[in-house]
Amino acid sequence: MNQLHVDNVFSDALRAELITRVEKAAPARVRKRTRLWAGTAVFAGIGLLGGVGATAAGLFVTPGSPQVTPLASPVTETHTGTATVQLGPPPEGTTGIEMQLRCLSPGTFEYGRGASNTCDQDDVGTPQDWTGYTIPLTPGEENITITTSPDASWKITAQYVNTKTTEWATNADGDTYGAQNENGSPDMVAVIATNGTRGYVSRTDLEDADGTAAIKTFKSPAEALAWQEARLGKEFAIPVYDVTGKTVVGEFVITSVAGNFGVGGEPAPECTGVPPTLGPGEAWPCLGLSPIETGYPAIPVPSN
Amino acid sequence: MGSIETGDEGLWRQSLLGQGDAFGALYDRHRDRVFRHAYRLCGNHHDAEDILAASFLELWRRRKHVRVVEGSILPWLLVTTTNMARNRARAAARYQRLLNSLPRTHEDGDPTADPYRRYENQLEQDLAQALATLTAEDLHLVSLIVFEEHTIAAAAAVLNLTPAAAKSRLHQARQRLRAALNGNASAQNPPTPVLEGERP
Repeated sequence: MNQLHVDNVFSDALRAELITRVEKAAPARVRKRTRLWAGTAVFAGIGLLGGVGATAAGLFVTPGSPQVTPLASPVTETHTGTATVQLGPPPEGTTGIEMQLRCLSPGTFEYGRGASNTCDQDDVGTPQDWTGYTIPLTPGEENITITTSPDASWKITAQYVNTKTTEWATNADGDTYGAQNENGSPDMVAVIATNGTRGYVSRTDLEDADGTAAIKTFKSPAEALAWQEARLGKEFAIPVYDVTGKTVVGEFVITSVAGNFGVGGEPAPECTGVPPTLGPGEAWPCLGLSPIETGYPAIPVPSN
Repeated sequence: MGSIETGDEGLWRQSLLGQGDAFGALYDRHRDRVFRHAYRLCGNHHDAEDILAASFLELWRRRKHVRVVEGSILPWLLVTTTNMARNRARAAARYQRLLNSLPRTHEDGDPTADPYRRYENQLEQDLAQALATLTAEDLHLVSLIVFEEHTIAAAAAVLNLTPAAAKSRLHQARQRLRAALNGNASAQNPPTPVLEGERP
């Protein structure tokens, strides 16, 4: 396009207006939030199973998961406060930087691109202190900066990797199995059961339990509301099978909580009544039940 | 990889807690793509700015409804941008006073005076017209997958479709768009190359 850009004067004024609006809406009291990125133990949000799949995939390969090949020796460093870790020039074939961060003290650690992780005192020294990401390679980017408060300590391991998504496998019954990825879900979705056993849940079980199936059937906001209320706070356990799809090896639990982003407690104010009509293209807003899935998605596994 | 936009979640969460800077950072991150998309849909600089503003204002107004897909708010934002562009009059009405109050630099010169820009403008107008022939759902799919390079899975998630349904609808949408572009024979423009490829 021809030097297409937003008028800076307009953009700056808009930006200032947006910030004002956000700050005006700051809640009077900060409600306690459930942790979203508590290591890998609690997982929230439909669709995240695949999205975070890149993290520690090098440790074992689930069909359909990204296969990560390290291309250089990992760089491990320990710091207190904000610091930048140099990785040197990326080897040929690099598609991303795989990084794992452990917090050594409580604090919020920002990885750039806005991703962040908060560690509580309770997390330090437990598997909950671990976070992993694979960042796509940006040409010219040869370092990672972790931004945090001056007294927060952390340890990072980062390395250049090549990532490619593997194919799903097929079992004797002809069902595909493996990790959710950009191609969607296989017939049997890889998970780690609450008892720690790796296995698979049936896609239809999962969609029934996490609401994907129900959402498609609603004909009115009232129906959606009733469904939401009926589910609130309930747990839905679905069986985890071995690769044959016949032997149960554990269970995978999905809990419905109100609101987005793990904000616990009351439902959003606009969800307490039924709106008279929906405008064209408008979706009923209050399906914002975030399932919190316990057990783990199969891919992100702490390295120790 | 789905993880490129992982970063939005932290900023979005902070925004919801009333941290203006976090929302500012999201604005900085997605502004240009939203603007480009708005421009593509309307072919007019001034309207594209209005759509950009309305989209981000809607992002905040409807914050409880925002669906973060693969760690990113961008798919939701682009769907909103598309809706804003399709219902420009309604969107503008809601924010009219604000939009009027935002200062703008007046462009120097007449863009149609430069033959290259005039040619470019014509192409953009043609594309905008062709896109206007699509249904809302087709337009969302084409916008997210063809232009903005999201995966079919991500587009399906934000649009509440199964990946398989999204894929087959995208195929049909591409054909309709190609037909609409060919219908604009006046501008002897070949179909945009991006429409030819298959995206995984």
